[in-house]
Amino acid sequence: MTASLAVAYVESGNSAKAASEFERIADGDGPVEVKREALWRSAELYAGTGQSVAAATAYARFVERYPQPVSESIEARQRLVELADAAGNQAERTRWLRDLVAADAAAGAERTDRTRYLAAKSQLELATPTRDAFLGTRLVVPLDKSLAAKQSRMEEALAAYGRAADYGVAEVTTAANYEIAELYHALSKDLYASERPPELNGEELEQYGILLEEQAFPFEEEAIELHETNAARTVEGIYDQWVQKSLAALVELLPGRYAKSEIGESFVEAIR
Amino acid sequence: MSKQSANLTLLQHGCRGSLAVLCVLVLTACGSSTPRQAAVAEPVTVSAPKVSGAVPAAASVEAAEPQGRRARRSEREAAELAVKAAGVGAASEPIPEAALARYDRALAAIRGEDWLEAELELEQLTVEYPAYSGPHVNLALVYRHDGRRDDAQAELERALAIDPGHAAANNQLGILLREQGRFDEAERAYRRALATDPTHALAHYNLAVLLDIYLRRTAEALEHYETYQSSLAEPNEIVGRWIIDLRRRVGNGDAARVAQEAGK
Repeated sequence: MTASLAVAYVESGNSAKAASEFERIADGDGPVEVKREALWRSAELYAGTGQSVAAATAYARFVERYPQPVSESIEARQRLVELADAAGNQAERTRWLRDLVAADAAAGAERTDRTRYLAAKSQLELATPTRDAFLGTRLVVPLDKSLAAKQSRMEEALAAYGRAADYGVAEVTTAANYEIAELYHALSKDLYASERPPELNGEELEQYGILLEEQAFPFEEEAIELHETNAARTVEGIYDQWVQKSLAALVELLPGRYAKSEIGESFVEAIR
Repeated sequence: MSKQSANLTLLQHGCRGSLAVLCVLVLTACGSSTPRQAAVAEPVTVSAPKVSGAVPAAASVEAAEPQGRRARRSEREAAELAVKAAGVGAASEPIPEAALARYDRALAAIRGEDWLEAELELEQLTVEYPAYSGPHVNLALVYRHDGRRDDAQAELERALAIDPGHAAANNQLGILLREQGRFDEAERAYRRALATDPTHALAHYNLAVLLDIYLRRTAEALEHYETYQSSLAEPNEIVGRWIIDLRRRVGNGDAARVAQEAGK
């Protein structure tokens, strides 16, 4: 009875009413398969009519009630991530990203290319705050303390991007490798630019600067090596935005080797 | 996938005097002990060598133009001028005066960087005389200048439908294909340009860039940089430095290493 009513609402274009009818079916005592399908449709209809809170509630209920099949359960988490993102709710977003990664990891034989892809993308997203925390840690006097703090944040960011790259999803791997290379790049730049101890005089300052350069140099080297590995994906025909960004970084880091662009004719003289 | 951790070790050791603070800082990056070669560490500001394969107009081009080609071009231009004056094309059909006049206006507009004027003249030409390749190629260049890459590519393909071996059209198409990451197709386009005109300096140069940066076939890239360089009246200093760098890398198999790592 209510099922046909829901369908009638959908057909008449009354999505909002259809959503609540489907929700009633989902909460009723019909067959599990019907209830599961109804809950999904109500969530979709709520989302489609801009009722984000109701949509999120329905998807969250779907995740809770129907852990199987895993692929759909993970898809529901993906919708929850998107809804939280649209609502600007960072805490909620992070929660569902983590939950999605965990669900994929626990799925065993039920993992699919799609669940791995969504998990890899989520892991990449989860790495962003660790990167930002690292970038935001300034190197100030006393350097040993601030450097220790920066080091530990770098370790966290490296681990987070490393986990993303480990999925072996091409576009996530190139993104993670780009970010990892940029962590080293940032560290070398931040060392160069770190705060100088106020008690140093002219000559001492100069020596201090030289020492900083020496210490920063290996990190720049590491950044170059990692960007080169990422940029070399072009050999396999991979030329996504991250490979391009690594190439752009190399133009800055190693201009003698990478600042090479094509030259075209300005015009052709002959008419035929 | 490299997952080296930043091995930042803070060591306190025998510090003296007011520079004590210096001593706390000992950093090591694991997995990267090779000092960068001075040759490539140099912060070179590279501006693309100013060369234009078919353009004798710009003054800067003159110096970089292959001498032999320049001479041949002058002869050809003289011949073309004579032909134009007579109102007869190189092919069997004479080119109508109106077409030549419009074409001249379009080229003047390009030289004067009046892109809108150039576009209007060339679009009109491609409508009135669709069988001439030149207007299509030039229109492609104007579109590209406007950032209209798809339109540019379509015009180049029209030119190549008329004249599949058109060197400039193939060279331009190669650039567009490379920008889209279609590296193998770009290589074929440059090679078509060179099949038509083995002395096409820009096609050698662009093929070298493709092989060097994107396909990492360093030894082949080196050959084409060298061919380009030797075609110039005066060697280009920046390209000269690239050649030295590539010779060294070809010597120590560095390119193979990078390509192999990428394949992991």
